[in-house]
Amino acid sequence: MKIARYVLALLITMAMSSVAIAQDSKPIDNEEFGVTITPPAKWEVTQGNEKAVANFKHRGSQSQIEVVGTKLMASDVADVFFSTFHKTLTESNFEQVKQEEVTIGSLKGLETTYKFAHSGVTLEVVIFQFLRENTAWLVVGYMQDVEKDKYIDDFKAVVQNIKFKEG
Amino acid sequence: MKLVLLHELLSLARKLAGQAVILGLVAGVYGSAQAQDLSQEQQQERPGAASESEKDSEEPRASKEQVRERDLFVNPEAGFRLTRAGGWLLGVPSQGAVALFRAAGEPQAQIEIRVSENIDGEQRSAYVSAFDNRLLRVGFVQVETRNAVNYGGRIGQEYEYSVLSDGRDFRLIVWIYFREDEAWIASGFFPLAKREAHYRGFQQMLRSLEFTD
Repeated sequence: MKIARYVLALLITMAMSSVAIAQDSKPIDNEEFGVTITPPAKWEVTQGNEKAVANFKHRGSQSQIEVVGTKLMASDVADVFFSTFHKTLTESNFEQVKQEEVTIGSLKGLETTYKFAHSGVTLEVVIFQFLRENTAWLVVGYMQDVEKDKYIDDFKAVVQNIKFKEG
Repeated sequence: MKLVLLHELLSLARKLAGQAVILGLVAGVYGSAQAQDLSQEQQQERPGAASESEKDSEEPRASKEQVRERDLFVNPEAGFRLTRAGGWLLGVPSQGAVALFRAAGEPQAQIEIRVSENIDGEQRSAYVSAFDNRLLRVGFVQVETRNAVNYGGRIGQEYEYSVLSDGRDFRLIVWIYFREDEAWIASGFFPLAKREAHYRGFQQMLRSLEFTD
């Protein structure tokens, strides 16, 4: 009986902490890039790649979204940056399955989908890239292939809600 | 079990994507100025295979020579050749590069050679400091400068930078050698953990470099 009560208390604590994390997931303001990035509902802000302006994780599925801003020397090297980025992924066994120009919200860019598989598990890696002034932006979503349909709208919501400060 | 695999795969995918960003950044730094003016044809031809005339030369007589021929990298348009170090595979060069090698089984470790043209004597020091500034501005930290580094009789300056990606420390080693009005830039990008072994390959390849024009 004591054990059952303990387990119940533990479950309540876990549920409450989960709510607390969800509530903590406020938009991320980044002064350096002059940008605000909003996590989708039910996604938490995590520590991740230090080059990323924002890292979000879906608690249940472990799907992740990161937003990486890279200041380039000049906008005319963006092609070199993006093409080297994709070439490196391809050479690292990411299999490109789709690439198309898309507009999400007010942002026009290129969306590329890769499959990345190992030991019977396959990830879909969705990348939306765009250039703004001299900064190359990559929004990268990592999700299990069978769950992509569930989370792709969350990925698009991140892109849609990217707000740049004017000036 | 599947959850552990998923976690590991996510972690690996993020790590690889992070490193791809760094390599894109390095290419972007190199990609400025003259390097971008190199013709598209040069990249598409995938330099590296020995030219037909060289292939038609005498059959190798000893295994050592066979190895040497197999590892010979020739770029007739850029006018150089070198011997590939063991464990390095031929890659497809990015825009503006004249050679690219990747460590076997480790695509993020790479050695790349680029050439910038129309840099006369007076512009050399400005070129080097502009190059250094660009790397510093995009987050690289210079950890060492080595003066008068001699590879096969060619003396250049060597710079070593550190950069973090997904919590891992990487090293970028850049050797700049001026030849007439050209700047030859060889860069090695390696995880710090394998820096010693990969640097030996980098040095070995540069020692074997010969100009053919």
